[in-house]
Amino acid sequence: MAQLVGTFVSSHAPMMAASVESAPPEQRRSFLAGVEQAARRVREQGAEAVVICSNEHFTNFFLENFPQFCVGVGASHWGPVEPWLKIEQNEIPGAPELASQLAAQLPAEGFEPSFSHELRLDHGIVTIYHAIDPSHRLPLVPFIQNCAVKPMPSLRRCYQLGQAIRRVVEGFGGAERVAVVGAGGLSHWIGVPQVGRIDSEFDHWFLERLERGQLDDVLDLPDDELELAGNGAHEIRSWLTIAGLAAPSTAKVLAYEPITPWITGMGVVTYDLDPASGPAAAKGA
Amino acid sequence: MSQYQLQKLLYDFLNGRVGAAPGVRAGADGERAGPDPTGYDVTQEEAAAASGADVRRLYQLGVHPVLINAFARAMGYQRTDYARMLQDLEPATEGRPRWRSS
Repeated sequence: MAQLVGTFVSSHAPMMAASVESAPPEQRRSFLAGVEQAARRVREQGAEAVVICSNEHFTNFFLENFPQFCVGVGASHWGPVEPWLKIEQNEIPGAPELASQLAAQLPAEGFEPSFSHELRLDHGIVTIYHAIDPSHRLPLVPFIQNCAVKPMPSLRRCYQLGQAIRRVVEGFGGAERVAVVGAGGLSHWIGVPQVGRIDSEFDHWFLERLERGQLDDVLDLPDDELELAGNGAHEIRSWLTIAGLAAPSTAKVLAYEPITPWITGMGVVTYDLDPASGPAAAKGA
Repeated sequence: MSQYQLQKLLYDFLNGRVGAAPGVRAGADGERAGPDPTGYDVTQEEAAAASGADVRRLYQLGVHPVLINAFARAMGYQRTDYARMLQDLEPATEGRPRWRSS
């Protein structure tokens, strides 16, 4: 059965690849050092595949059929779709056995993600994947979440999804070590008049709760209130998915910088999982 | 209905290639130049906003912000450019969320 390794979550922004130098040097050094520290753990702990939970940006889906969750089960995934991202566009290997296990077993856990053999990747996943493996050889399962188009899955539902993902991955017999990572958020505004604002007060409030593992008031946030931290703040769904997966372990904040030129609160957290006390053990108890 | 069609036009443009998808107008160099509203059930105003890459008007017409962002980037606007186009359209969202200390 697979062991979860290298669990982390990071903000993503296209400019962290396309326009790194636009950020103040101290801020970009601090954030990117955090990303590298988290990514290095994935490599050093010998992950054989990585599942990256991130949000849809109208890259794969339009309003005629917009899934709340979608697992990429393909043998490979093309990306990044943004030619200006300064990351080479290519076919990134998939992990179809692991992905198919997620698609097949999550319904028994109360989740019915859609699945796709032809997911394309954008900056949301590729910036973080590239940090983990610049050679683009590590098999990837993209796990897309709706964090933009209402109605969205509730924050609590996304937390519970993480618990379910953990049970499925830990029951997977096709690898010994699998990383599950989140990418998105924190506060930011996109495509609206407030673009460029960052709500550092929200970001610190949220990160403190991840550190303490006290998430009830976060999980109860209605979307209208969360949106006061920006329409991009809905992407904390990916953070909460990983928080659910890691529970009862709590987050360690490696970096946080409100990087105005990247229009986003840029944070990184890692988790040290206790294999004896996760959701899998709890379910069997 | 036409708001849906307008957004579909932009989505098809963003994801299409010249000659391979509806909604894509070719430039003189044969490259993707802009949205082509032919065949989409949009109003004249919506067609003009899309064809003219009028980000401000598209926002006012209700195009989803994530599509606004992607479309603006595809048309060569930086975020500072479209922020200037949108900045006076509405005040910042009002409210006192639970994380605000003052």
